[in-house]
Amino acid sequence: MPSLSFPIRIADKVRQADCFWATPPAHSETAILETWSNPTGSPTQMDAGELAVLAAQKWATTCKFGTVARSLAEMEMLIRKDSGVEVTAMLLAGAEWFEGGLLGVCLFHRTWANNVFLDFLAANPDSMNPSAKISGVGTGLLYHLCGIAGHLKAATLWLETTSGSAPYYRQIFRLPEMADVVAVSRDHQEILCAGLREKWRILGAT
Amino acid sequence: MNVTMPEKRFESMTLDEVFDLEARYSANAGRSVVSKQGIERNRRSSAQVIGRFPKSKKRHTAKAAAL
Repeated sequence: MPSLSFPIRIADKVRQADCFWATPPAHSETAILETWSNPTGSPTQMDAGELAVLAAQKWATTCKFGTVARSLAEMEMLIRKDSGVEVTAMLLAGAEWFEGGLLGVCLFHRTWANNVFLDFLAANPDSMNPSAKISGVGTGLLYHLCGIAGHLKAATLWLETTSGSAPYYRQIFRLPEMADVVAVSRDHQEILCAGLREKWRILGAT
Repeated sequence: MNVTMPEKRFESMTLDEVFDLEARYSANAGRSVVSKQGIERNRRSSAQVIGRFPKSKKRHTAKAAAL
């Protein structure tokens, strides 16, 4: 598994952020996500806020009624017990230097067919403020999710784009056209991971 | 003559260009259930009402002064 940190850009500087698995029920984290609703922001910020709130709500429901994992090892153990198990997990991005606490969220499921479904991914709407100029949170979370999917040997990672984010997903996964539903093959997941590792390596070398 | 530059492939993008891509479009993913267009419409119509408010306030002030 790749290391659980990744670089993000703040203004013109690069800093490290951490990616970690939510420990159920993660009340303090979901309480933070619930505050991200931002009806006065840009459409992208509104989307991010709404998706984070929905992720928090679905996570809470799954903790109550479903099967959740707090680590890759736990997810693998659940799969060993029952190969058709549906497991949910939540990746969070944060940094000690970030006042808002959390930088991003990614709620995903391992499906009965051993694919990975990215249910919700959002960066903190405050990080999208023109004054904050933070970028790379979503890409970092996506990198770790592709790493998890690769580790589980998931044939497909699938997700739903928004009208705003469709061009981003088209370009990073080399899709022929923009789409609301994206199915990423293992090859393309690996291209993303290898590409980002190389870019991060160059960054470390400079 | 308009020349459209071919889009850069992910592999040949620099890390800065990846950051730019996310900053421009976001990596938001998931099924949204709230119409952002509706919120935008409401916001615009509220802004128009607020824009008209000072006139009406002025009339009220003038009326109050007359009384």
